[in-house]
This record gives sequence, C-alpha cells and structure tokens, in this order.
Amino acid sequence: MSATRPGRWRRIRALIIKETLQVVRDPSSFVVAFVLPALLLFLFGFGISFDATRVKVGLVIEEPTPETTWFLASLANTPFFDVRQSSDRRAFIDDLAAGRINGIIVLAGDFAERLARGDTAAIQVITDGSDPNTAGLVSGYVQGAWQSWRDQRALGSANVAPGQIAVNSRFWFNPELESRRFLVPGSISLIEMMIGSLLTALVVSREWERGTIEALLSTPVGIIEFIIGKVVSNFALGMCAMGICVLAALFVFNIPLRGSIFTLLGFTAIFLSVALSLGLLISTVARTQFLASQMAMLVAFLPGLYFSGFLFEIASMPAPLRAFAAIVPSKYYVQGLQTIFLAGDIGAVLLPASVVLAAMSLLLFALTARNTKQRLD
Amino acid sequence: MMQTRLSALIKKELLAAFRDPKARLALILPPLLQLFLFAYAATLEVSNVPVGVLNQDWGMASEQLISRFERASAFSEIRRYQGLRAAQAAIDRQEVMCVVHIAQDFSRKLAAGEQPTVEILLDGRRSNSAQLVNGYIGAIISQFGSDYHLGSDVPQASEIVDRTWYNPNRDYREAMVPILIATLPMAMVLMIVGMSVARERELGTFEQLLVSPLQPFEIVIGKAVPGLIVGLAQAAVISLIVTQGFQIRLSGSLFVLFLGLTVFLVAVIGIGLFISSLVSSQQQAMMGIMVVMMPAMMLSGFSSPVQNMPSWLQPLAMANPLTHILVIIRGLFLRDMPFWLVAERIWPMAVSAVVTISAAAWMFTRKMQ
Repeated sequence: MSATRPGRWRRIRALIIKETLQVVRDPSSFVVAFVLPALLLFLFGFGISFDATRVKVGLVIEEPTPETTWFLASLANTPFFDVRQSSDRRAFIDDLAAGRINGIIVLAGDFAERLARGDTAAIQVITDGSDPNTAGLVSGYVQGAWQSWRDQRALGSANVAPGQIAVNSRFWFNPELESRRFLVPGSISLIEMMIGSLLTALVVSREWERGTIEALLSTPVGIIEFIIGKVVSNFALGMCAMGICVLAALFVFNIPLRGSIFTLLGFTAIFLSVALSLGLLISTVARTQFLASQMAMLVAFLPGLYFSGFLFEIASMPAPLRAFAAIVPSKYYVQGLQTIFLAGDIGAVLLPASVVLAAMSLLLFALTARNTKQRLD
Repeated sequence: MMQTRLSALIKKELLAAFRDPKARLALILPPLLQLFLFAYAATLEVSNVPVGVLNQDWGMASEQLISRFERASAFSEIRRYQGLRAAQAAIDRQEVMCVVHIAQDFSRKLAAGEQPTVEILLDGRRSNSAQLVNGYIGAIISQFGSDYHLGSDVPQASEIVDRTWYNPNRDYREAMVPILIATLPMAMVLMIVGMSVARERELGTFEQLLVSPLQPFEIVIGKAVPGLIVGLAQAAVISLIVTQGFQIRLSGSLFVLFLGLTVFLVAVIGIGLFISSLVSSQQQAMMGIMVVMMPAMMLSGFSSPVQNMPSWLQPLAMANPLTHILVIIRGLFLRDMPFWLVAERIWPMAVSAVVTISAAAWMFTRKMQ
C-alpha cells in the first residue's frame, strides 16, 4: 500500500489539473461556474426587492380642512409613501385598475366634522389585492402613519383617547428592513447548489456520454481517485465562487458580516460537500448531459429556490410540503447563512444545521459509491 | 408552392420537438411540477407561525390580549418566555419570529385611561415576513385597545377601515397561479424554438435547409409557427386548469387575454430564434436559454413588483415582454382591466416582437451568404 501511495497522489494531482482545465475550456461549464452565479447574485441583489419604500397611493380628500392637511402631512413625511391627491375617488379608480398606484386612502367629506363632534371618523384604505404582499405592506404603513398622527393629535389635546395602546416595534438584525439582506445570502445558496450539483453532474455525465470514463478506468486510475479528482476541482471552484460572492455581498450590496469569516467558510464547505455528492449521484443515474442538467434543475435548483425559506414562507405551506422542506439541504444552509451574515455565530442555529448537512452528505456519497460500482460491473 | 413548403417545414418541426420521449418528458414534466409548486408553495404570506410572548404584567387585560393572539389564524401557538434574555435567545435560535413584550404596568395604565406601551421584537433576518407579522400583531393590539374601552362612553376619535379590492382575501394563489399562463408557455416555447436550429446545426442538417428552396424568412416562419401553436395550446390548457381546477375567475375578456398572449409569444419566439442563431450545440442553446430566462423571469414583476427595482433597471423591465403580459394577466383575471389599458401594454410587446424577429431573420440571411 505504502509503495503505491506516491503514484496515487501523482495520479490524483494529474486528474485535478485535467478537470480544472476542462472546466475552464468548455464554454458551457464556464457559463455554469461564472456567468450564472454572477447573474443570480446581480438579480437577487438589484432586481428583486420586497421593500416597497415608496408605495404609490392616491389620497382622496373630499373636503379639505386643517385636519385633513395635517393627515396628508403625516403621510408625506414618512419615507413610505408617494402621495397623489385628488378630491374625487373616481380619479384614482383607473389608476388602481392599471396597477399604476398601490392603494387609495379616502377621507370622507365629514371627516373633520366627525372629529370635531367626537364621533368616530373613518379613514378608508383601499388596497390592490392582485399583489397581496404589497397590499399587506400598504395597510401596515397606513396603520403606522395613522397611529403617529393619532398620537400627535392626542399630545395636542389635553386628554388621551381611551384604549390607545402604543406599539413599539423593533426589528433586530436588519433595522433598515432591507429585503436585500436576506435575498443575497439566499442567492449564494442557489449559486453554491448550482456549482456543486449542476456543474458536477454535467462534467461527470459527459465522461459517461463520451465513453471516456471507461478509457480513464482502464488506466491505473481507480474509481475513488476518479471521484476525488472530480470532487476536488469542483470543490475548489465552489469555494472560489463563495469568495467572490462574499466580497460582492460585503462591498457591492453592503451586507454586514456579523459572524466570523471562518465559520462562514467552514459551514459553506459542509454544504458544498452535500451539493457535490448530489451532483455525483445525479451523474451516475443520468447517462447524458441533457438529462443530467434537467435532473439537476429538478432535484437541486428548484427545491433550493422554493423550499429553502429565503423566498417563500415554509410555515405557510401545506403539511406534506413542509415535511419535504425538511429534507432540502438548502433550507439548512440558508438558515445558517442568514444567521452568520446578519446575526453572528449562533451555535444553537449552526451546530444542528451542520450536523444535518454532514449526515446528508455522507448518505448521498454512500449512495453514489454503490451506484458507480454497480454501473461498472 | 410556398404554402406546401412551409406547411411541410412546420410539420417537421412539430415532429422533431415531440418525437423523442426524453425530450417530450423534459418539455412536459417541468411545467406540471411548476404548476403544482406555484399553487401550493409560492406564498409570501405568513400563517401557522408560533409567536412568543413575554408577559410581565399581572393584570387581566394582558391575558385577554394574549388570548386574542391565540385565536388569530396566522399564529400556530403561543410560546411564553420568562425574561428578556430567554426571549432574545429564542429569536436568535429562530424558534419564534417575534416576541410581544408586555410591560408590568400594562393593565394598570389601560384601566387608568393612560397609554400603555407594547413592545414587539422581530427577527429581521426575514424582514418581509417579520413586517407582515408586525402588521397582524399591530392590528390585533389596536383592535383590542378599542374593544377594551367599548364600554366607556367616549368613542374612538378615528379608525382605519381597510378594504382590499379585486382579491378581497389577499389570496396568494389567486394572484400567482394565473401568471403561469404566460411563464410556462414562455419556458416551453424558448426550449422548442431555441433548440430547433441548434439541433439542426449539431446534426448537420442546417446546411441542407439553407440549400433548399426555402427563403430565410420562410425558415423563420417555419421555425416560429410550431412554437406559436404549441405555446398557445399550452396557454389554453393552463387557462382551463386555472379557471376550472383552481376556480379562479377570469373577470376580463378571454379574447383580449389571448390577443395579448399571441403578441407575447411572438416576441418570445423572436428571442428564442435569436439565441438559436448564435449557438452551435444544444448544450450551448440550453445555457443560452437559462441565461436569458432567469433575468426575464426576475425582472418582470413576477416575484417582486417592478416599482421596487432601482430606476436604472426599470427600462430593462419595460423592454421585457413578460413584464407587460403579467400586468395584462393580473389585470384581466382579477381587475377586469378595460381594453384601452390592455392596449397600452400590448404595443411595447409588439415592438419587441418586431425587433427580435427581424434580428433573427437578419442572422439567418447572413448565414446564407
């Protein structure tokens, strides 16, 4: 055994060099390893945003009075609204139907009169339910603006209206409420998944497709060495991509890194090993590159997009889908990434996630080893 | 003569796209899966989450408030914490997304007619969900406050009356599922059209096509029409599933919807043909399709509104045909959008259709020479 060892290391090194050259030379590998990650990071960093910082609302004031002007000012003074004003609600109905505004706020003609008389004055809010998320944010913002307007009025008059409870909300880890801060770590998980599984599946299935794997295995190269060669080069590529993503996150998108860089890299290494074993497993099942890429999209990419919890809310899904989400590796990685970036090195989140990911990796690797042996026999 | 040539080419293209069982599977399985995922998994709404409570008040009022959280459908259970530190640790661990902190003078102040303060601590790691939870809790607390003093003779000075038009329950499924009528045919048409020329290149039959009596514009039409037929057929099937299976009502006109879809699909076909004219293998075509499709999906208002994008990205979103067809579909399904508003969205798609189709035709002409 000790006699073959130097030869084995030389062979593995040669394989790694071959794999790396292959990736660098082939345009489609280049697209998977560099173009798609850059595109994803860009799209999630700039293109997708749930921050409706300036929702467009139409404010209908049927009869202007000092009270209504005060209300208008309290809306316009927040950074959340882009207010247009009219005296007739019909002016805004077409705009709402065309999706040009997100909501209409109506102060009826008797608004000031009712306030003065001590009756309850209604502030009607109409939101566009065809975009439920923005509709929810508009209601929330109006609620907030109304509360501060009401509190200021109460300060002005001597007595506080009964039953008013002040609500003081504090958003930890992300007080600016930028959705980018959770979308960018989420997109890093998609990128790592894609490099780990799609690229690995493509390069290994190509060897099967072209028959070069038989040629390779008739040389002194063993199956384990072959796999190590594939894994190491893609692993290095994944870590390079991670480095670039982290730099972009910190300096282009201004996302804080509250945990340590070593935790981040170590945790990523564990996830990458899961993605790589998944890619290897796909390549042993799929015989062609086309099928391998389709399977990688279905098995790795789509679940990583839908069930990782960075875009869609897992708790709101029906029970079978929640159960499925529990076996999606990206879910654990996204949880860890968001924590390391925004909260810090919290062992209570990171340790269980690492254990689950490591177990997944071992299982997938064992399955791959078994399948590969079977196919060669 | 030209007609028989064309129809033969169209027939050949349709056969080529669907004859291979593996390719057929790749064209049919992903749309079905997406339909399923979209209906059941694509939700931004927050429900069924646990909510944490840190109650330092010994009075009745705070317990009454907490029981309202218990009854709220958005929350699955109440988890109580004894101290601020325990509550903080629970948020750190992502055990709960928020903790409602009720201070010890809550009941006393409320009874005395003073203004008590409730603090809500939220996990900003998922700021969108946290904001929605914050909205729910704020509304419950505010309602509780006004109900608490219902007995007293001083009425609330003002109140918010919240109405949601077009989709009164703010149901995600109603808003998301109709969109598939455009996105799934788009993916399929891009695959069929984008791969078609690449396949001929790979097999070496493209040269044969070029030396045949077919003119470049005939090749373009021959490659485009099958895509349009398949795309419209798929759109029709999905429309049926959406309206009959998911019971989402189309409030606008079906004719206008398909008019918009036709213009949209022609624009998509132009993009597909253009990609196809650039690449030399199916593998490359697929990478090209992915590189075009991802931005097209994400810069369209499909997952987050166009108005939230930075202003320098807005022109790109406006040039994207998917942006416009999504406005039309949401408008026709939920809002009964009038025709003149739909027309405002059709002409930009028509412009992209003309530009992309002529660019593709130009590429083919260049290849002939």
